[in-house]
Amino acid sequence: MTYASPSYLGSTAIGLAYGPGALPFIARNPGRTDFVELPYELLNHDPGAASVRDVAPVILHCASMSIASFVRPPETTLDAISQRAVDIGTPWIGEHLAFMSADPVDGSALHEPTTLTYTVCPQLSEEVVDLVCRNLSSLRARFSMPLIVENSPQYFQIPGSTMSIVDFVIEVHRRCDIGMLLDLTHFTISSMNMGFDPKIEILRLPLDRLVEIHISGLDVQAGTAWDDHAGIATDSVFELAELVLKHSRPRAVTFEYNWAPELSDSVLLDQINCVRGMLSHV
Amino acid sequence: MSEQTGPSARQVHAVLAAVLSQPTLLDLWRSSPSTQCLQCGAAADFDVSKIWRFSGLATKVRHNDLRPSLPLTFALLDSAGLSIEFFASYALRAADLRKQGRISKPARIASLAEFLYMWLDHTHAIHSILWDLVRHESSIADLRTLATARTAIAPNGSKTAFSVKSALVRSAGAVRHEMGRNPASIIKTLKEGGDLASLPPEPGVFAYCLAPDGIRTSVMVIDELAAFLMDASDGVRSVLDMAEWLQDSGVPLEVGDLLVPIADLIGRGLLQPVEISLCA
Repeated sequence: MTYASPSYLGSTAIGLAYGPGALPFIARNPGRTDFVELPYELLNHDPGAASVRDVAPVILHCASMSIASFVRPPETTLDAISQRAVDIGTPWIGEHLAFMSADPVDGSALHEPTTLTYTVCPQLSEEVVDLVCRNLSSLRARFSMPLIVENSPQYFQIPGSTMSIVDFVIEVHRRCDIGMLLDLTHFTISSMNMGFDPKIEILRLPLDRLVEIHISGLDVQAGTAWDDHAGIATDSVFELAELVLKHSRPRAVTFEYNWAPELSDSVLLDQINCVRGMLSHV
Repeated sequence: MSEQTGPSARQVHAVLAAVLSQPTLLDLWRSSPSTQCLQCGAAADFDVSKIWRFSGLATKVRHNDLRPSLPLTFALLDSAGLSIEFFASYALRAADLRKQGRISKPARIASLAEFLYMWLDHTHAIHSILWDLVRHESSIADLRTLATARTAIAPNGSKTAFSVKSALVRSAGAVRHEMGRNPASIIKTLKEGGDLASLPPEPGVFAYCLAPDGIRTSVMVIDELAAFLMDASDGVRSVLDMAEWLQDSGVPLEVGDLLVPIADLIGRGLLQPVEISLCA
Protein backbone atom coordinates (compact mmCIF):
# COMPACT_ATOMS: atom_id res chain seq x y z
CA MET A 1 0.00 0.00 0.00
CA THR A 2 1.40 3.41 -0.85
CA TYR A 3 0.42 6.71 0.66
CA ALA A 4 1.67 8.87 -1.97
CA SER A 5 0.17 11.33 -3.56
CA PRO A 6 -0.20 14.83 -4.57
CA SER A 7 2.97 16.77 -5.16
CA TYR A 8 2.43 18.84 -2.05
CA LEU A 9 3.14 15.71 -0.06
CA GLY A 10 6.49 15.12 -1.69
CA SER A 11 8.09 15.73 1.69
CA THR A 12 6.46 15.83 5.07
CA ALA A 13 3.63 18.29 4.82
CA ILE A 14 2.44 20.36 7.77
CA GLY A 15 -1.20 21.27 8.10
CA LEU A 16 -3.99 22.39 10.36
CA ALA A 17 -7.21 20.73 11.41
CA TYR A 18 -10.16 22.71 10.11
CA GLY A 19 -11.61 24.98 12.77
CA PRO A 20 -12.60 28.58 13.28
CA GLY A 21 -9.01 29.77 13.49
CA ALA A 22 -7.49 27.72 10.67
CA LEU A 23 -8.39 29.67 7.55
CA PRO A 24 -7.68 33.10 9.11
CA PHE A 25 -4.29 31.77 10.22
CA ILE A 26 -3.53 30.52 6.71
CA ALA A 27 -4.60 33.85 5.23
CA ARG A 28 -2.31 35.76 7.61
CA ASN A 29 0.58 33.36 7.12
CA PRO A 30 0.67 32.26 3.48
CA GLY A 31 3.05 29.45 2.65
CA ARG A 32 3.53 28.33 6.24
CA THR A 33 1.18 25.35 6.07
CA ASP A 34 0.56 22.84 3.31
CA PHE A 35 -2.95 21.45 3.85
CA VAL A 36 -6.11 21.49 5.92
CA GLU A 37 -7.53 18.39 7.55
CA LEU A 38 -11.30 18.31 7.33
CA PRO A 39 -13.60 16.03 9.34
CA TYR A 40 -16.10 14.11 7.24
CA GLU A 41 -18.76 14.73 9.88
CA LEU A 42 -18.38 18.50 9.53
CA LEU A 43 -18.39 18.23 5.76
CA ASN A 44 -21.54 16.15 5.90
CA HIS A 45 -23.23 18.70 8.14
CA ASP A 46 -21.96 21.67 6.15
CA PRO A 47 -21.07 20.75 2.54
CA GLY A 48 -19.95 24.35 2.03
CA ALA A 49 -16.88 23.54 4.12
CA ALA A 50 -15.54 21.78 1.01
CA SER A 51 -14.66 25.22 -0.31
CA VAL A 52 -11.57 25.01 1.87
CA ARG A 53 -10.12 23.26 -1.21
CA ASP A 54 -9.88 26.70 -2.77
CA VAL A 55 -7.44 27.67 -0.02
CA ALA A 56 -5.40 24.53 0.51
CA PRO A 57 -5.26 20.82 -0.32
CA VAL A 58 -7.47 18.76 1.97
CA ILE A 59 -6.98 15.54 3.92
CA LEU A 60 -10.16 13.82 5.07
CA HIS A 61 -10.47 12.73 8.69
CA CYS A 62 -13.34 10.57 9.86
CA ALA A 63 -15.01 9.08 12.92
CA SER A 64 -18.11 7.57 11.36
CA MET A 65 -16.75 4.21 10.22
CA SER A 66 -16.73 3.02 13.84
CA ILE A 67 -14.09 0.44 12.96
CA ALA A 68 -13.97 -1.12 16.43
CA SER A 69 -17.72 -1.61 16.49
CA PHE A 70 -19.93 -4.67 16.23
CA VAL A 71 -22.48 -2.45 14.53
CA ARG A 72 -21.69 -1.66 10.94
CA PRO A 73 -22.37 1.89 9.85
CA PRO A 74 -25.20 2.39 7.35
CA GLU A 75 -24.23 1.81 3.75
CA THR A 76 -25.41 5.32 2.97
CA THR A 77 -22.83 6.70 5.41
CA LEU A 78 -20.03 4.69 3.83
CA ASP A 79 -21.14 5.75 0.36
CA ALA A 80 -21.16 9.38 1.46
CA ILE A 81 -17.67 9.15 2.98
CA SER A 82 -16.40 7.57 -0.22
CA GLN A 83 -17.98 10.26 -2.36
CA ARG A 84 -16.68 13.11 -0.19
CA ALA A 85 -13.21 11.60 -0.20
CA VAL A 86 -13.18 11.52 -3.99
CA ASP A 87 -14.67 14.99 -4.28
CA ILE A 88 -12.05 16.65 -2.11
CA GLY A 89 -9.17 14.61 -3.52
CA THR A 90 -7.86 13.38 -0.20
CA PRO A 91 -4.72 11.23 -0.44
CA TRP A 92 -5.98 8.98 2.38
CA ILE A 93 -8.73 8.83 5.00
CA GLY A 94 -7.73 8.91 8.65
CA GLU A 95 -10.15 6.99 10.88
CA HIS A 96 -10.24 6.47 14.66
CA LEU A 97 -9.36 3.09 16.11
CA ALA A 98 -12.52 3.32 18.18
CA PHE A 99 -16.27 2.79 18.17
CA MET A 100 -19.22 5.15 17.93
CA SER A 101 -22.04 2.63 17.69
CA ALA A 102 -22.92 -0.36 19.83
CA ASP A 103 -25.66 -2.91 20.35
CA PRO A 104 -28.51 -2.12 22.72
CA VAL A 105 -27.89 -3.28 26.29
CA ASP A 106 -29.25 -6.74 27.11
CA GLY A 107 -32.69 -6.46 28.62
CA SER A 108 -33.08 -2.79 27.88
CA ALA A 109 -36.24 -1.39 26.38
CA LEU A 110 -34.18 -0.13 23.47
CA HIS A 111 -33.82 -2.46 20.54
CA GLU A 112 -31.92 -0.23 18.14
CA PRO A 113 -28.13 0.16 18.22
CA THR A 114 -26.88 3.13 20.18
CA THR A 115 -24.94 5.66 18.12
CA LEU A 116 -22.87 8.35 19.79
CA THR A 117 -21.56 11.52 18.20
CA TYR A 118 -18.00 10.90 19.31
CA THR A 119 -15.56 8.02 19.38
CA VAL A 120 -14.86 5.81 22.39
CA CYS A 121 -11.78 3.69 23.08
CA PRO A 122 -12.82 0.04 22.60
CA GLN A 123 -12.15 -2.97 24.78
CA LEU A 124 -8.50 -3.85 24.26
CA SER A 125 -8.72 -7.54 23.53
CA GLU A 126 -8.09 -10.22 20.93
CA GLU A 127 -11.81 -10.20 20.21
CA VAL A 128 -11.68 -6.54 19.21
CA VAL A 129 -8.42 -6.85 17.26
CA ASP A 130 -10.13 -9.56 15.18
CA LEU A 131 -13.21 -7.38 14.81
CA VAL A 132 -11.17 -4.37 13.66
CA CYS A 133 -9.32 -6.48 11.12
CA ARG A 134 -12.58 -7.85 9.73
CA ASN A 135 -14.12 -4.39 9.57
CA LEU A 136 -11.07 -2.85 7.95
CA SER A 137 -10.89 -5.62 5.41
CA SER A 138 -14.39 -4.94 4.17
CA LEU A 139 -14.14 -1.16 4.48
CA ARG A 140 -10.90 -0.75 2.56
CA ALA A 141 -12.41 -2.32 -0.52
CA ARG A 142 -14.94 0.51 -0.68
CA PHE A 143 -12.46 3.36 -0.97
CA SER A 144 -10.21 4.34 -3.82
CA MET A 145 -7.66 5.78 -1.40
CA PRO A 146 -5.98 4.14 1.61
CA LEU A 147 -7.39 4.19 5.13
CA ILE A 148 -5.09 4.90 8.05
CA VAL A 149 -6.04 4.36 11.69
CA GLU A 150 -5.56 6.68 14.65
CA ASN A 151 -4.78 5.53 18.19
CA SER A 152 -7.48 6.49 20.73
CA PRO A 153 -6.79 8.27 24.00
CA GLN A 154 -7.48 5.95 26.93
CA TYR A 155 -9.15 7.64 29.88
CA PHE A 156 -10.07 4.62 32.00
CA GLN A 157 -9.65 0.86 32.18
CA ILE A 158 -11.98 -0.86 29.76
CA PRO A 159 -13.47 -3.98 31.39
CA GLY A 160 -12.50 -7.26 29.78
CA SER A 161 -9.32 -5.81 28.27
CA THR A 162 -6.46 -8.25 28.00
CA MET A 163 -3.75 -6.02 26.57
CA SER A 164 -2.43 -2.49 26.86
CA ILE A 165 -3.47 0.13 24.36
CA VAL A 166 0.04 0.03 22.91
CA ASP A 167 -0.16 -3.73 22.34
CA PHE A 168 -3.63 -3.28 20.89
CA VAL A 169 -2.36 -0.75 18.34
CA ILE A 170 0.64 -2.94 17.53
CA GLU A 171 -1.60 -5.99 16.97
CA VAL A 172 -3.99 -4.11 14.71
CA HIS A 173 -1.13 -2.87 12.55
CA ARG A 174 0.59 -6.25 12.54
CA ARG A 175 -2.50 -8.11 11.41
CA CYS A 176 -4.18 -5.54 9.20
CA ASP A 177 -1.36 -4.12 7.06
CA ILE A 178 -2.65 -0.61 7.48
CA GLY A 179 -1.10 2.83 7.74
CA MET A 180 -0.73 4.59 11.06
CA LEU A 181 -2.08 7.94 12.13
CA LEU A 182 -0.18 8.49 15.37
CA ASP A 183 -1.84 11.04 17.61
CA LEU A 184 1.00 11.97 19.91
CA THR A 185 -1.31 13.73 22.34
CA HIS A 186 -3.60 10.70 22.57
CA PHE A 187 -0.52 8.59 23.17
CA THR A 188 0.68 10.94 25.92
CA ILE A 189 -2.79 10.99 27.51
CA SER A 190 -2.94 7.19 27.53
CA SER A 191 0.52 7.00 29.09
CA MET A 192 -0.47 9.42 31.85
CA ASN A 193 -3.78 7.71 32.58
CA MET A 194 -2.57 4.15 32.32
CA GLY A 195 0.87 4.70 33.82
CA PHE A 196 3.34 3.66 31.14
CA ASP A 197 6.51 5.34 29.91
CA PRO A 198 5.60 6.93 26.58
CA LYS A 199 9.21 7.27 25.40
CA ILE A 200 9.81 3.56 25.76
CA GLU A 201 6.41 2.39 24.56
CA ILE A 202 6.24 4.61 21.49
CA LEU A 203 9.30 2.95 20.03
CA ARG A 204 7.50 -0.41 20.21
CA LEU A 205 4.98 0.85 17.65
CA PRO A 206 5.52 -0.20 14.01
CA LEU A 207 6.71 3.27 13.02
CA ASP A 208 7.51 2.06 9.52
CA ARG A 209 3.74 2.29 8.98
CA LEU A 210 3.55 5.90 10.10
CA VAL A 211 1.71 8.10 7.59
CA GLU A 212 0.49 11.02 9.64
CA ILE A 213 1.03 12.58 13.06
CA HIS A 214 -1.50 14.57 15.08
CA ILE A 215 -0.44 17.15 17.64
CA SER A 216 -2.80 18.97 20.01
CA GLY A 217 -3.13 20.10 23.61
CA LEU A 218 -4.00 18.13 26.68
CA ASP A 219 -5.49 19.10 29.97
CA VAL A 220 -5.27 17.40 33.38
CA GLN A 221 -8.43 17.60 35.48
CA ALA A 222 -9.65 15.46 38.38
CA GLY A 223 -6.51 13.33 38.14
CA THR A 224 -7.05 12.40 34.50
CA ALA A 225 -5.40 13.72 31.34
CA TRP A 226 -7.92 14.79 28.69
CA ASP A 227 -7.70 15.68 25.02
CA ASP A 228 -7.86 19.45 24.54
CA HIS A 229 -7.80 20.90 21.03
CA ALA A 230 -8.18 24.38 22.50
CA GLY A 231 -4.92 24.05 24.40
CA ILE A 232 -1.36 24.11 23.18
CA ALA A 233 0.69 20.91 22.92
CA THR A 234 3.02 20.43 25.86
CA ASP A 235 6.77 19.91 25.75
CA SER A 236 6.23 16.22 26.45
CA VAL A 237 4.28 15.88 23.20
CA PHE A 238 7.10 17.57 21.26
CA GLU A 239 9.65 15.32 22.93
CA LEU A 240 7.69 12.35 21.59
CA ALA A 241 7.53 13.99 18.16
CA GLU A 242 11.30 14.37 18.14
CA LEU A 243 11.74 10.75 19.15
CA VAL A 244 9.34 9.46 16.50
CA LEU A 245 10.81 11.64 13.76
CA LYS A 246 14.24 10.17 14.43
CA HIS A 247 12.82 6.79 13.46
CA SER A 248 10.25 7.57 10.83
CA ARG A 249 9.24 10.18 8.31
CA PRO A 250 5.48 10.64 8.08
CA ARG A 251 3.79 12.15 5.04
CA ALA A 252 1.96 14.71 7.12
CA VAL A 253 1.93 16.39 10.52
CA THR A 254 -1.38 17.98 11.54
CA PHE A 255 -1.82 20.50 14.32
CA GLU A 256 -5.27 19.96 15.81
CA TYR A 257 -6.18 23.26 17.41
CA ASN A 258 -9.64 23.22 15.96
CA TRP A 259 -11.63 23.91 19.15
CA ALA A 260 -9.99 27.26 19.69
CA PRO A 261 -11.83 30.26 18.24
CA GLU A 262 -8.51 31.95 17.58
CA LEU A 263 -5.00 30.70 17.10
CA SER A 264 -2.04 32.64 18.40
CA ASP A 265 0.11 33.16 15.30
CA SER A 266 3.34 33.38 17.24
CA VAL A 267 2.72 30.20 19.25
CA LEU A 268 1.59 28.18 16.24
CA LEU A 269 4.40 29.46 14.01
CA ASP A 270 6.90 28.52 16.71
CA GLN A 271 5.43 25.02 16.83
CA ILE A 272 5.43 24.67 13.05
CA ASN A 273 9.05 25.82 12.94
CA CYS A 274 9.90 23.41 15.73
CA VAL A 275 8.50 20.46 13.75
CA ARG A 276 10.15 21.64 10.52
CA GLY A 277 13.41 21.81 12.45
CA MET A 278 12.97 18.23 13.66
CA LEU A 279 12.20 17.10 10.11
CA SER A 280 15.28 18.79 8.73
CA HIS A 281 17.40 16.63 11.01
CA VAL A 282 15.81 13.37 9.90
CA MET B 1 -1.48 -9.93 27.15
CA SER B 2 -3.73 -12.20 29.17
CA GLU B 3 -6.64 -14.58 28.69
CA GLN B 4 -10.02 -12.92 28.48
CA THR B 5 -12.10 -13.75 31.52
CA GLY B 6 -14.21 -10.60 31.88
CA PRO B 7 -17.23 -9.36 30.00
CA SER B 8 -17.33 -9.63 26.24
CA ALA B 9 -16.42 -6.66 24.07
CA ARG B 10 -19.95 -6.59 22.72
CA GLN B 11 -21.38 -6.22 26.24
CA VAL B 12 -18.80 -3.63 27.27
CA HIS B 13 -19.36 -1.47 24.21
CA ALA B 14 -23.13 -1.73 24.66
CA VAL B 15 -22.96 -0.58 28.29
CA LEU B 16 -20.59 2.28 27.51
CA ALA B 17 -22.69 3.52 24.61
CA ALA B 18 -25.91 3.20 26.64
CA VAL B 19 -24.72 5.25 29.60
CA LEU B 20 -22.92 7.83 27.47
CA SER B 21 -26.00 8.38 25.33
CA GLN B 22 -28.38 8.54 28.31
CA PRO B 23 -27.15 10.93 31.01
CA THR B 24 -30.14 9.93 33.19
CA LEU B 25 -28.91 6.35 33.22
CA LEU B 26 -25.37 7.44 33.99
CA ASP B 27 -26.53 9.68 36.85
CA LEU B 28 -28.63 6.87 38.29
CA TRP B 29 -25.79 4.42 38.01
CA ARG B 30 -23.39 6.91 39.55
CA SER B 31 -25.62 7.78 42.50
CA SER B 32 -26.48 4.14 43.22
CA PRO B 33 -23.69 1.93 41.90
CA SER B 34 -25.34 -1.13 43.37
CA THR B 35 -28.60 -0.44 41.54
CA GLN B 36 -29.21 -2.91 38.76
CA CYS B 37 -29.93 -0.05 36.41
CA LEU B 38 -28.20 -1.98 33.68
CA GLN B 39 -29.24 -5.54 33.10
CA CYS B 40 -25.70 -6.49 32.24
CA GLY B 41 -23.05 -8.28 34.21
CA ALA B 42 -20.42 -6.00 32.72
CA ALA B 43 -21.71 -2.97 34.60
CA ALA B 44 -20.00 -3.77 37.88
CA ASP B 45 -16.56 -3.68 36.28
CA PHE B 46 -16.69 -0.06 35.17
CA ASP B 47 -15.23 2.95 36.94
CA VAL B 48 -18.43 4.97 36.85
CA SER B 49 -16.84 8.22 38.04
CA LYS B 50 -14.35 8.17 35.19
CA ILE B 51 -17.06 7.41 32.65
CA TRP B 52 -19.08 10.30 34.09
CA ARG B 53 -16.08 12.62 33.60
CA PHE B 54 -15.59 11.29 30.08
CA SER B 55 -19.19 12.27 29.39
CA GLY B 56 -18.11 15.75 30.53
CA LEU B 57 -15.41 15.83 27.85
CA ALA B 58 -17.93 14.71 25.23
CA THR B 59 -20.44 17.35 26.36
CA LYS B 60 -17.75 20.03 26.35
CA VAL B 61 -16.80 19.13 22.79
CA ARG B 62 -20.47 19.34 21.77
CA HIS B 63 -20.44 22.95 22.94
CA ASN B 64 -17.39 23.98 20.92
CA ASP B 65 -19.62 26.09 18.71
CA LEU B 66 -20.29 28.35 21.72
CA ARG B 67 -16.58 29.02 22.25
CA PRO B 68 -16.43 31.99 19.85
CA SER B 69 -19.16 33.66 21.96
CA LEU B 70 -17.71 32.67 25.34
CA PRO B 71 -13.98 32.28 24.67
CA LEU B 72 -12.72 33.40 28.05
CA THR B 73 -15.41 31.55 30.00
CA PHE B 74 -14.29 28.32 28.35
CA ALA B 75 -10.64 29.24 28.86
CA LEU B 76 -11.19 29.91 32.56
CA LEU B 77 -13.26 26.76 33.04
CA ASP B 78 -10.33 24.85 31.54
CA SER B 79 -7.51 26.63 33.32
CA ALA B 80 -9.32 26.36 36.66
CA GLY B 81 -9.70 22.63 36.11
CA LEU B 82 -13.49 22.87 36.22
CA SER B 83 -14.63 22.22 32.66
CA ILE B 84 -14.76 18.41 32.75
CA GLU B 85 -16.90 18.16 35.90
CA PHE B 86 -19.01 21.17 34.95
CA PHE B 87 -19.91 19.71 31.57
CA ALA B 88 -20.42 16.24 33.09
CA SER B 89 -22.95 17.85 35.43
CA TYR B 90 -24.49 19.76 32.54
CA ALA B 91 -24.82 16.68 30.27
CA LEU B 92 -28.37 15.89 31.35
CA ARG B 93 -29.64 19.46 30.82
CA ALA B 94 -27.84 19.61 27.46
CA ALA B 95 -29.44 16.33 26.39
CA ASP B 96 -32.88 17.65 27.36
CA LEU B 97 -32.27 20.77 25.27
CA ARG B 98 -31.23 18.67 22.28
CA LYS B 99 -34.45 16.68 22.57
CA GLN B 100 -36.36 19.92 22.13
CA GLY B 101 -34.99 20.18 18.62
CA ARG B 102 -33.20 23.11 17.06
CA ILE B 103 -32.37 25.42 19.92
CA SER B 104 -30.84 28.77 18.99
CA LYS B 105 -27.30 29.57 20.00
CA PRO B 106 -28.42 32.43 22.31
CA ALA B 107 -30.82 30.02 24.06
CA ARG B 108 -28.03 27.48 24.51
CA ILE B 109 -25.74 30.16 25.91
CA ALA B 110 -28.48 31.28 28.31
CA SER B 111 -29.07 27.70 29.43
CA LEU B 112 -25.38 27.11 29.99
CA ALA B 113 -24.99 30.36 31.96
CA GLU B 114 -28.05 29.59 34.09
CA PHE B 115 -26.73 26.13 34.91
CA LEU B 116 -23.29 27.53 35.65
CA TYR B 117 -24.86 29.90 38.18
CA MET B 118 -26.44 26.97 40.01
CA TRP B 119 -23.33 24.83 39.78
CA LEU B 120 -20.75 27.34 41.00
CA ASP B 121 -19.72 27.86 44.61
CA HIS B 122 -20.11 31.63 44.80
CA THR B 123 -17.99 31.88 47.96
CA HIS B 124 -14.97 30.72 45.93
CA ALA B 125 -13.01 33.53 44.22
CA ILE B 126 -12.47 31.81 40.87
CA HIS B 127 -16.07 30.61 40.77
CA SER B 128 -17.41 34.10 41.39
CA ILE B 129 -15.08 35.45 38.69
CA LEU B 130 -16.47 32.83 36.31
CA TRP B 131 -19.96 34.03 37.06
CA ASP B 132 -18.94 37.61 36.29
CA LEU B 133 -17.19 36.51 33.10
CA VAL B 134 -20.00 34.38 31.67
CA ARG B 135 -22.53 37.19 32.19
CA HIS B 136 -20.15 39.69 30.57
CA GLU B 137 -19.45 37.51 27.53
CA SER B 138 -23.01 36.26 27.11
CA SER B 139 -24.39 39.82 27.31
CA ILE B 140 -22.03 40.95 24.57
CA ALA B 141 -22.83 37.85 22.49
CA ASP B 142 -26.56 38.57 22.81
CA LEU B 143 -26.06 42.17 21.74
CA ARG B 144 -24.01 41.12 18.72
CA THR B 145 -26.76 38.72 17.71
CA LEU B 146 -29.27 41.53 18.14
CA ALA B 147 -27.14 43.96 16.13
CA THR B 148 -26.98 41.48 13.27
CA ALA B 149 -30.73 40.93 13.40
CA ARG B 150 -31.45 44.66 13.55
CA THR B 151 -29.63 45.64 10.40
CA ALA B 152 -32.95 45.69 8.59
CA ILE B 153 -34.90 47.57 11.25
CA ALA B 154 -34.59 50.87 13.02
CA PRO B 155 -31.68 51.10 15.44
CA ASN B 156 -31.98 52.01 19.09
CA GLY B 157 -32.07 55.60 20.16
CA SER B 158 -34.21 56.96 17.35
CA LYS B 159 -36.53 58.63 19.87
CA THR B 160 -35.06 60.63 22.70
CA ALA B 161 -37.65 63.23 23.73
CA PHE B 162 -39.50 62.52 26.97
CA SER B 163 -41.41 64.27 29.73
CA VAL B 164 -42.23 63.51 33.34
CA LYS B 165 -45.35 61.77 32.06
CA SER B 166 -43.39 59.49 29.77
CA ALA B 167 -42.92 55.85 30.53
CA LEU B 168 -39.62 54.25 29.72
CA VAL B 169 -38.45 50.84 28.59
CA ARG B 170 -35.05 49.27 28.40
CA SER B 171 -33.68 49.42 24.89
CA ALA B 172 -33.66 46.06 23.12
CA GLY B 173 -30.93 43.89 24.56
CA ALA B 174 -30.03 46.28 27.39
CA VAL B 175 -29.19 44.45 30.61
CA ARG B 176 -27.42 45.22 33.84
CA HIS B 177 -25.37 42.95 36.09
CA GLU B 178 -24.03 43.36 39.59
CA MET B 179 -20.46 42.19 39.23
CA GLY B 180 -18.02 41.21 41.94
CA ARG B 181 -15.09 42.39 39.85
CA ASN B 182 -14.60 44.63 36.85
CA PRO B 183 -14.80 42.41 33.73
CA ALA B 184 -12.03 44.46 32.10
CA SER B 185 -9.70 43.61 35.00
CA ILE B 186 -10.66 39.93 34.78
CA ILE B 187 -9.98 39.83 31.04
CA LYS B 188 -6.66 41.67 31.36
CA THR B 189 -5.47 39.34 34.11
CA LEU B 190 -6.63 36.26 32.22
CA LYS B 191 -4.94 37.31 28.97
CA GLU B 192 -1.71 38.17 30.77
CA GLY B 193 -1.73 34.84 32.59
CA GLY B 194 -1.93 36.59 35.96
CA ASP B 195 -3.27 35.22 39.22
CA LEU B 196 -7.03 35.66 39.05
CA ALA B 197 -7.56 34.41 42.60
CA SER B 198 -5.68 37.42 43.93
CA LEU B 199 -7.70 39.91 41.86
CA PRO B 200 -9.31 42.10 44.51
CA PRO B 201 -13.10 42.42 44.63
CA GLU B 202 -14.29 45.50 42.80
CA PRO B 203 -18.08 45.40 43.06
CA GLY B 204 -20.04 47.48 40.61
CA VAL B 205 -23.10 47.56 38.42
CA PHE B 206 -22.31 47.13 34.73
CA ALA B 207 -24.79 47.88 31.98
CA TYR B 208 -24.69 46.46 28.47
CA CYS B 209 -26.50 47.77 25.41
CA LEU B 210 -26.17 48.52 21.74
CA ALA B 211 -24.68 51.90 21.06
CA PRO B 212 -27.03 54.39 19.38
CA ASP B 213 -25.63 53.35 15.98
CA GLY B 214 -27.24 49.94 16.59
CA ILE B 215 -24.02 48.15 15.67
CA ARG B 216 -21.41 48.59 18.37
CA THR B 217 -21.88 47.26 21.88
CA SER B 218 -21.49 49.51 24.92
CA VAL B 219 -20.41 48.37 28.36
CA MET B 220 -20.51 50.93 31.15
CA VAL B 221 -20.44 51.24 34.90
CA ILE B 222 -23.66 52.72 36.21
CA ASP B 223 -24.56 54.05 39.64
CA GLU B 224 -27.29 52.94 41.99
CA LEU B 225 -29.82 55.45 40.66
CA ALA B 226 -29.22 54.38 37.06
CA ALA B 227 -29.65 50.75 38.09
CA PHE B 228 -32.95 51.68 39.78
CA LEU B 229 -34.11 53.55 36.68
CA MET B 230 -33.32 50.57 34.47
CA ASP B 231 -35.24 48.24 36.77
CA ALA B 232 -38.19 50.62 37.07
CA SER B 233 -38.49 51.17 33.32
CA ASP B 234 -41.27 48.72 32.59
CA GLY B 235 -43.09 50.58 29.84
CA VAL B 236 -45.93 51.51 32.19
CA ARG B 237 -44.47 53.50 35.06
CA SER B 238 -43.97 57.20 34.28
CA VAL B 239 -41.05 59.32 35.44
CA LEU B 240 -43.42 60.83 37.99
CA ASP B 241 -44.29 57.36 39.28
CA MET B 242 -40.61 56.54 39.62
CA ALA B 243 -39.99 59.67 41.66
CA GLU B 244 -42.91 58.81 43.93
CA TRP B 245 -41.63 55.30 44.35
CA LEU B 246 -38.23 56.62 45.38
CA GLN B 247 -39.77 59.06 47.82
CA ASP B 248 -41.95 56.33 49.33
CA SER B 249 -38.77 54.33 49.84
CA GLY B 250 -37.18 57.22 51.70
CA VAL B 251 -34.97 58.51 48.87
CA PRO B 252 -35.22 62.33 48.91
CA LEU B 253 -35.26 62.94 45.16
CA GLU B 254 -37.73 65.05 43.24
CA VAL B 255 -38.93 64.24 39.75
CA GLY B 256 -36.69 66.98 38.38
CA ASP B 257 -33.68 65.16 39.82
CA LEU B 258 -34.41 62.21 37.54
CA LEU B 259 -34.53 64.07 34.25
CA VAL B 260 -30.80 64.44 33.65
CA PRO B 261 -29.94 60.84 34.62
CA ILE B 262 -32.76 59.54 32.41
CA ALA B 263 -31.64 61.69 29.48
CA ASP B 264 -28.15 60.32 30.01
CA LEU B 265 -29.37 56.69 29.99
CA ILE B 266 -31.40 57.36 26.85
CA GLY B 267 -28.38 58.98 25.22
CA ARG B 268 -26.22 56.01 26.07
CA GLY B 269 -28.71 53.60 24.52
CA LEU B 270 -29.91 51.93 27.73
CA LEU B 271 -33.46 53.33 27.89
CA GLN B 272 -36.11 54.51 25.46
CA PRO B 273 -39.20 56.64 26.15
CA VAL B 274 -42.59 55.25 25.19
CA GLU B 275 -45.88 57.03 24.83
CA ILE B 276 -48.49 56.11 27.39
CA SER B 277 -51.78 55.48 25.71
CA LEU B 278 -54.66 56.44 27.96
CA CYS B 279 -57.58 54.14 27.57
CA ALA B 280 -61.05 55.30 28.48
